[in-house]
Order: sequence, then C-alpha cells, then structure tokens
Amino acid sequence: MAVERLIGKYQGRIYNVILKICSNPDDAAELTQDTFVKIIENIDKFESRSGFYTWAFRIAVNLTLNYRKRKLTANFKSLDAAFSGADSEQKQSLAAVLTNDKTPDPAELAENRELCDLVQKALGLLDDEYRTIIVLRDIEGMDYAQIADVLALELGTVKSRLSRARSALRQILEAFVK
Amino acid sequence: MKFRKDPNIEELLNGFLDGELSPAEDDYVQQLVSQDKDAAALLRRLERCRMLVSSLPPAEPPAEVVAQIKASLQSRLVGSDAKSVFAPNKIGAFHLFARHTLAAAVMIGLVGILAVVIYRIMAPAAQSPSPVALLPQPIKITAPQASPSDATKTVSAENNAGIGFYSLRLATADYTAADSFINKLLDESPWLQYNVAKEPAKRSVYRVLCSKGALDALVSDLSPVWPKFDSATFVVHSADVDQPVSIRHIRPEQITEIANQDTADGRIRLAKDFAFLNNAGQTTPAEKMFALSSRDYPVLTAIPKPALTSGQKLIPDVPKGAFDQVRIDLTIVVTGHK
Repeated sequence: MAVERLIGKYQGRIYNVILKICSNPDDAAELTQDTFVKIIENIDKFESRSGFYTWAFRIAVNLTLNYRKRKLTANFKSLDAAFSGADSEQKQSLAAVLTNDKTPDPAELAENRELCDLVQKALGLLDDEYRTIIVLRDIEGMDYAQIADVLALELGTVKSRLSRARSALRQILEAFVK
Repeated sequence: MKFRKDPNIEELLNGFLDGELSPAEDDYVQQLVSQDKDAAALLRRLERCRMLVSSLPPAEPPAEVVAQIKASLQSRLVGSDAKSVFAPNKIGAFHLFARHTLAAAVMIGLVGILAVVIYRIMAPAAQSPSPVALLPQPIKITAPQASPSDATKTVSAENNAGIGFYSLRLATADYTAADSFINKLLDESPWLQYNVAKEPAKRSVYRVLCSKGALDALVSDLSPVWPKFDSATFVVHSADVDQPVSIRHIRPEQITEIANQDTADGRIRLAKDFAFLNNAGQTTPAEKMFALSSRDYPVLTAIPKPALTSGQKLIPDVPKGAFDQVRIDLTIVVTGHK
C-alpha cells in the first residue's frame, strides 16, 4: 500500500530529525505520527515545485518547532546544569577530539556513548533554530538549497545561520572542556 | 592578519567544509588556510564539531509507529476517508476502471469511424452482386412505384406453374468483356431478379427470373453484342417433354418468340422448328451464318462500355410489362474460350 510504503521509507529519518530537535523520544514518536497524518491529509496539496522529501521534512520541522514553542516555557540554558553529570574522563575525551591534530575516526566517535551524550546535551543548549539547522545539515545531510526549502529561508540566511549555529555549538563544547 | 579582518571567515570555512562554495571562494579559503595558522586551526575545530554531530548514532523509531500512525489517521479521518487511506481504495479502483472502459469505448468508436471512412473511400460506387449458389433460396423482387400493386413478388423453383424454363449458353473469346456487359445489364435492370455464380475457369452462370416483358427487354439489350458470341445455344425445358429442345445458333428474336408463346406446347413446337431451321443453316460456314443472321445488327468491334460514369444509378425506361408476373426462369451460361 502506498501509505505504508511512504511511512516505511521516511519514518526513520523523520523520527531521527525530530528526536534530535526535541530531545524527547515520546514527543518525537508523537510528532512523527502527527507529521505523517498531516502529510496524508495534505497530500493533495503537495506541489511538485519542491521535492516530496523536503516537503515532508518541512512539515516535520514546523510541527516540531511549533510544539517546542508551545511546550517549553522555560528552556534549559544552564551550561553547568547540562553537564553536571559529566566526569573528567568525558571532558578529556571531548577535549582530545577537539584539539588533537590527528583526525578522529567517525566510527569510534559513534561508539563512544558518553561523548555522544555530551554532544547531544550541547545541541540541547542551542536555540531551536540553530539546533534545527545543524540537525538538517550534519545529521540529515541536506545541502543548503534543501535546508532553504525546508525552513523557507534564503540561501544566504542558511549560510549565515548555519555558521552562527556551529560557532555557538563549538563555543559550548570548548567551554565545557576548559 | 587577513583572517582577523574578514568578518565572514567562519561562514566561508563552514561553506568550505560543506562543499558549498564557488570555485573562486574555494580557492580563496584554501589559500587562506595555507597561509594563516589561525584560520587553519579554526577550520580544524569546526570540522571536529561537525564530525561530533554527524557521528551521533541515528535513533530508531518505535516499532509500533506505523500502527500508531494508522490509529491516529483512523481517529482523525471520518467515514470513508479513513478507510480509503489504508484499505484498498475501491473508489479509486472504480474510477480507474471507469476511465479504462471509457478510453476503450472511445478507441472502439474511433476505429469504427475510421473503418467507415476507409470503406467509403475504398468501396466501389456500385457493387456487383456477390456470387451465390444457384437455386438455393427464393429470390425476392421489389417493384418500383409504377406498379404498386405488385410491390413484392416472390417466386421459387417449386412454384413453376405457367413458368417457362430456359437455358441460354453463350461462348465467346472475349469472356471478360461479355460477362461484364451481361452482369452490368442485369444489375441495372431492377425489374428482373438474378443470381450469379462465377467460376474461376471463365464460366459464369446467371439465373434470371423475370416477366415476359422483362425478357424481351433483356434480349433486346443483348442484341447489339450478339455477334460477339461465337456460339449461342438456347434450350427449352418442359415437364411434358422427355428431352429438352436445344436450338443452336439461336437469334435474339427467336428467343422472344418462343418465350411469348402462351402454352408449353406452343413453346416446344416453335423451339423444334427453330432448331430444325438453324441446324439446316449449318450447311453453310458458321461465319457466313453469323454474317447473315447479324445482317440487321451493327457489326461490333468491341462490346460497348457502360455509359455510367458516376456512382449515380442509371435508371432506364421501364420496358412494357417488365413488372408483370414472373413467367420466365432463364439460366444464362457464359463461357470463355481461347
């Protein structure tokens, strides 16, 4: 069936993007459901000006960001509180990645659960619009034009916003290892 | 340092990492990084941050997400809309079937129209009757309005009271022209009915049912081409006589005379007289006989072509008595020879 194939094809990626933005598995599951319901309800409104892929992700991102706006009245912004549970070993591991001349192995990074947890927390400290653009670029792997399509931004805005987002993330991570 | 003076350097470095720079910008960044250690260090830190994020393991969605989406859709959508999302779409299938059926009907219609157009282009203006077996069925005849009382007459071989049965055997070297002429003549004579059987070996058999007046007209029309036939034999059949009477070298007016006899005995008697006379003529060469017998007729060098030049049917004057009761059952056999 077309709908089940559609869900099967995109559910993993959409769920992953939503989860990285909202950082809550339950919310991500619910928002994924809402995304597909909206996709199916509005499938007749889909115009082929943009690809279905970016159209579906635009729905997912908009739903997630709107949900975050409604729910999060007090965002967690404290660096110390975010990394309160981190031990010195995690700090050293992160510092090694950031400062060593030797390029780290991505597979090793993915297997380092503590390090991934720290990065996820750092992402959580970013503003939603920064976190979203980093997720779309560095996790989902969209190019700038696709990001512009999903977020309804100009290409120049995508460049500058992504630059600011990465700068903010870099500063958070570097501040943690200092 | 150049690096510190460029406010967009971090944006350029990010674009460089993402492969989103133009060739000129790419060259610029490469040159900058090779010359400026701070720029190179910043590029490395940005790259590491990017690697950390992109190395985050993907999260697997809950296994029941499809079921939850289905349930959510079922609860949100109402009535048939909800069923149509996950159940087989019967409405869509019906519409598809209807479209296919309509398309097929349109195609059949177009093919039919095309066939009619092609037929109108290719079909002859006036069709010759199709060859049919002799004596298979009664032949129907429809009279014109001139004699409405005899609107439709039907005769059969069994209903032979008062009917004279004759055979006319014609042999000619120009079989094609002669047969075509006879066929055309019969075809353009609505007061007589006929069947024709054409055999491959230059032999056509016509069976003609007509009134005496119609036979007179037919024989009269055949008279101009009579000399074209190398031999003409007329056979008179009668139920009262064991052997039919065969008249060789028959002439058109002799046929008319025989057919106009009121009784079968009269026809047989006259036929025997003509047979005797014509056989006596065999003492002279056949060419002379034909020359003598055709003295009153124009000598034809060719069988005249039909005057009909268009699809319009030529309706000649109706011969006297042409639509009277059928009294003649005539079989004409046209044979070609070298």
